[in-house]
Amino acid sequence: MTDPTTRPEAHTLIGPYVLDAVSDAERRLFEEHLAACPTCARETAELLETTAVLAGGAEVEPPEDLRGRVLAAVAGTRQLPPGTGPARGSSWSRRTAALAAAAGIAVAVTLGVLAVDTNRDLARDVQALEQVNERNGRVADLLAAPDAKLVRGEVTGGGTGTVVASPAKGEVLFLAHGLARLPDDRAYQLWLIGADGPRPAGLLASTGGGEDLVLATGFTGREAVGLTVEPAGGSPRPTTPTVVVLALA
Amino acid sequence: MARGDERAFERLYDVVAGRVLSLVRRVLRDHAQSEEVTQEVLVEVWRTAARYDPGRGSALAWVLTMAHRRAVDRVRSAQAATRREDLAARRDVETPFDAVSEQVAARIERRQVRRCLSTLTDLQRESILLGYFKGYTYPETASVLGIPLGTVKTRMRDGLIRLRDCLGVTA
Repeated sequence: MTDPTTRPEAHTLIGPYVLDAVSDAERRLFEEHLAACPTCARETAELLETTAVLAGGAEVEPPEDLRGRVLAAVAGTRQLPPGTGPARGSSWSRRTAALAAAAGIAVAVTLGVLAVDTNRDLARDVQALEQVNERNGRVADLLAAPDAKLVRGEVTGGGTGTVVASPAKGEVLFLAHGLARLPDDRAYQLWLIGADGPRPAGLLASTGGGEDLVLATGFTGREAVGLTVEPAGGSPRPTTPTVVVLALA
Repeated sequence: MARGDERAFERLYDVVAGRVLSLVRRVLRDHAQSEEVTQEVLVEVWRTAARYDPGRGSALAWVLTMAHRRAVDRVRSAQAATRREDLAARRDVETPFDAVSEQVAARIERRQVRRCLSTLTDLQRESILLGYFKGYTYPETASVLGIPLGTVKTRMRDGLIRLRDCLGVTA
């Protein structure tokens, strides 16, 4: 009779694997299993995004000499070519990638760190993170507000919009992901829509594609957040129907 | 990051090194070893940058996953003797859930993560914290918590799923 503790069913290892609570042998066993099981691969990706959150957004200031040592080590290290890599690369479907991205973005928005568009390469991810670090102070404060709430919705024409709002702070964060590209003479404009109608709340800096943020003030908690397409530079009142409206109540 | 683009790597360092060091320290505790592991992780990120597959998740998760794995490998090999004593001590003593949980949970800075962790059952939370931040294997975790192997594996997965859903929650 086989002792079940010595031959575990590979897929029951997903929790321990994601936490690195496995031996090297079990890790190899599970990774082989991942190559053949798209369901497990998808769940593993989502749970790895979750552990990245568990790691926390906390930072420690590295000692100054560490930077020099790391750069010196890197200068002497050859990079691997984009490779054959593990077989599991080929079993990833578009849906899997989209789900991993969605999980990453959901998690990242909650922490105020931009997740990265899965279509970008590492260089642009760094750029996105750098931009976020600049805004992180205000965004982190908003996310830490006790009354901060989050709502997400699909945007007409493509992409999603996510709102994080705190009536106490009077601030709203709007995060756009993967919106349809606009011509150069148009822009996405944010509105706070209250009993008196829509009030301009800022323009997205980009005309679609990956991620973008707007942080708006003057929020009382009684407005919905809407987005329209306007001429570049914005309009005093919306001139087109909203492509998304998100209400927090 | 194009092949050979060391300037891009410098920017990557400035953006992620602090996060990597923070995570590694929380597992390893020892500052000197944490710096060594952080260096290893960042060199490995450089070395394998072309193999990063965006379809598998965010770049930040990729880096932190690599960092966590190396920290756990190091804590198991370099601190083997201390860990054996620690593990034996935990097995011999009835450790109340609260004591273990407080020690590790104190390292969780983010309010959102703390809040979501509090929505887990005690066993789910304990299993995850012991595994992730102490670097215990799941059999070691099962031993410390006094539960069967099958149970600890299930609790780890169920707890992670709950965390995933909680962190992605809408108003």
